[in-house]
Amino acid sequence: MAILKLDQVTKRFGGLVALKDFNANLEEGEIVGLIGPNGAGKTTAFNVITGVYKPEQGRVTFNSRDITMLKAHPRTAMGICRTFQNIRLFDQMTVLENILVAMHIRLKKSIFSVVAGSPGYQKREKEMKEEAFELLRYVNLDHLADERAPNLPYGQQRRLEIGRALATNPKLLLLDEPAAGMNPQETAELMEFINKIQGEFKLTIFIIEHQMMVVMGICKRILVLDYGLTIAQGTPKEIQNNPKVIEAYLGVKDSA
Amino acid sequence: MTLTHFFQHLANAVYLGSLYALIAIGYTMVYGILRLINFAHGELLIVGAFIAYYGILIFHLPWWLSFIIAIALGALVGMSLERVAYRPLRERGAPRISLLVSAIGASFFLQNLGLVIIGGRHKSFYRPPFFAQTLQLGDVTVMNFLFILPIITIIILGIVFLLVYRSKTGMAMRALAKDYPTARLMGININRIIAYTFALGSALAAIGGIMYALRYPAIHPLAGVLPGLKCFIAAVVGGIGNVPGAVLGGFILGMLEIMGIAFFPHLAGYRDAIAFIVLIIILSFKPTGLLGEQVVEKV
Amino acid sequence: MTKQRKLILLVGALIVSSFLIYANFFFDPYVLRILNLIAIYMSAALGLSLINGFTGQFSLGIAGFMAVGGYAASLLTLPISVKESIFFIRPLIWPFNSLELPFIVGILFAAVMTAIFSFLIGFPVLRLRGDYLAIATLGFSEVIRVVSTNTITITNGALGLKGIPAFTNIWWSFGFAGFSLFVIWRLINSSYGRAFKAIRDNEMAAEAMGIALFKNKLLAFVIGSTLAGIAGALLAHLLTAIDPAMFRFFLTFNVLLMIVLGGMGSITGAVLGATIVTFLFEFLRYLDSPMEWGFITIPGAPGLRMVIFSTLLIIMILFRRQGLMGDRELSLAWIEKSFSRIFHRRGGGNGNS
Repeated sequence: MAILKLDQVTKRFGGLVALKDFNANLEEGEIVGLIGPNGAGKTTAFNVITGVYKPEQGRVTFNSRDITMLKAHPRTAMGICRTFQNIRLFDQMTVLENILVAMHIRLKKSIFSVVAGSPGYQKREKEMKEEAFELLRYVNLDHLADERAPNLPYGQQRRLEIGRALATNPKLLLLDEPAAGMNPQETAELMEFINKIQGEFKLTIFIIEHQMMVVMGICKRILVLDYGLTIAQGTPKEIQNNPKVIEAYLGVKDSA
Repeated sequence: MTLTHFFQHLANAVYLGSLYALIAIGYTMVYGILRLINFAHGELLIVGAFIAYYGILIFHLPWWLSFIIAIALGALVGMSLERVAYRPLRERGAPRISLLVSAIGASFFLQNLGLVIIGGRHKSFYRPPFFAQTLQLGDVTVMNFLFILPIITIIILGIVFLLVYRSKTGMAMRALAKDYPTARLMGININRIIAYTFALGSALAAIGGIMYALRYPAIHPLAGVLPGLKCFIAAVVGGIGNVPGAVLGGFILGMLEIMGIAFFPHLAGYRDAIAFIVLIIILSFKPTGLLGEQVVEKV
Repeated sequence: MTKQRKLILLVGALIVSSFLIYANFFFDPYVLRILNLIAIYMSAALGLSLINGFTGQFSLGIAGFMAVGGYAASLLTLPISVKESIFFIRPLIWPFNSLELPFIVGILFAAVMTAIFSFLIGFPVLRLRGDYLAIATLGFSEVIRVVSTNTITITNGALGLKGIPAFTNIWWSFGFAGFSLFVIWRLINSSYGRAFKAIRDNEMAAEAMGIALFKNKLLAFVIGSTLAGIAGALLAHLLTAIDPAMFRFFLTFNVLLMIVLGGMGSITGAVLGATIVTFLFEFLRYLDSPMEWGFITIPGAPGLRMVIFSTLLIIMILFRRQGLMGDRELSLAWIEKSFSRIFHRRGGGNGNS
């Protein structure tokens, strides 16, 4: 069954059509890649799915519920979470706190009981901290729990961002260029990591990535965008041999 | 209300509108480039008015010379303000809120320095006969300056347009307002352009201050606070960063303030609240102002 | 909480309260008044710090909410006879004209009224960001002031309220400062506090993590403004007279200076800032009034004090933007660490130092 369905989604900025008649179907448990040259509309697609932008036309359905006009934060509650192309951590907070923020959505305690320090809240806070530590151990950052997020090296910041997204208990995870700026070894580790979390958290993953090694390595299916239009989709093998894709990436071949 | 009264009010409204427009242009230019509410802009009005006042009173200068000197010195004060209170923060890449705090500090500094030097008593601004002469139009009696200011505003508007849209510096200013890092990469001397913008905006503030003093001749160091705030609101209502928007906003506020009170005299006590209420309404429905462009945040 | 921490807290509370008891009986009224002011501004500064510092919503409307609190409480506590004598232009409206209630009721009413006002004002303005928000909150604060100048049958207009009973004493002011400290401390270190700070640090990421931006901003705004409103009520019952001019932007400026000086985003900073600024404000009072030194009389320069204060603000923001404390806190852990360091040094023996 499709967990996420985008139906003829169009998003414009002024005169610029960032995304046109975009269709996508993500089956539960799939890892799907979204590729295309810079400015092709990939991040716009993510923003439409997560509710940062509302599309002018089309429908976004998640778990058979129409979420096209829903705000961003209830979508997170429903199980959609993301990372950002340019890392967006909470800079004045520690690594542990970054994770805890993402659990606030599941707190379900009134502000009065929190300020009064009710036993229920204290128990919940303790559970949250334990869960956050477990998650930090899982992403191998537990030894840095009290470090401020910006003090982490780049690769660990990326990992923390993924960990933070996992803390919201997502069903669908959107990764926006997770391998950007990584060396081949880090990239290989990342691929393994993505495969691992997909299995253990029973995630559906939608991933934007420029490093073809990643996309070809972990995605079963790939969508290709160019100038807001979907120019191809299929298995990695099909995409690699698709003349349209080659053209979009390398420019028009001179046939003369 | 008789027709005579109506026209009398209308003349007042046009005057106040052009006054606000004039000052709002300065605000909008500075904001357009620095993304900074120059809280001290209102104080620059009063600086201009007082320099003109003392030029006539102490140095016995002819009024026009005193006015010109006041405008020039006003520009200088504005540039120094930028140099001391804003530039260091900008160069260190401080968040915008820090600049705002610095601007609030600068505003209070100038106000209270004025109190220390000049004292809190109202001074009576000299009205040159040329401005004070009355004009009889049918039943409506108006003073000359009521006509002069809108004309000056139009002329200045023309000059500002030429400077911003036709000169090389103006092009640099617009580039800076649009895209800071790219403008820098293109070899634009940012500090020079910002200083220039401040000089221009502050000169406009000084002109506005003199015009304000001609209309409301009782001046004192804190007199710039309220018109300063209102003109900022005018700039926001019109769409900050947008020169025609500032003019539009200025006229809207001026009209509402005069005509609103003219039609509902029992609300006279609320006159100073009108601008804020307009601001809140406009921002609720069109957060970027009437003519402002929508800014999309890059994710 | 460990035993050691409980001990530190207990000792701290004992020291503070014995100082206050001593002060209450032996300090002269002028010094007591300054102490009261420090405590009241502490609460207001903590309120503003929650909004501006921790949630990152730069509000300039604190004076307006202090006015609401001051008027609301005074209207209930003013003796009926005083009400009849000060409202001589037009009488006070019902039901205030026939009420004379205890201080605690006045304070609760102040809290409810500021909460309602801040909710109604926060609703439109918190959709704005950064400097737009600043100017809109400033606008509302000014509107409150203009309205209070004009609603003569409630506020007595520009004449203000006089003869407010001097209910505020050291127990009330420090009691409430302690309460504010407790509330903000608990809040900031809770899941809600993390949500507020997340909004400050990165609004878009916070929303992507499921934080309801508007709801949480409004929450912080209402709580912070309500603390300031109660501070306004205490202020009114300390000074025994209020008028609209008291609640100009000037008042907001002072509270802003406190949190900028102390460090936006630090509770310790707000407390420190409130203490320093209030103290300096009184200490420098002589600058504004004439002085006589033997034969020489220096004429006072009204405004000189504010020149110094605004210079202080600019210098602070230019050279130490993060304030005295930054976003650090004087925490129990820190106290423990310094204590154990001292003991280790003294104890020698067991350490390899």
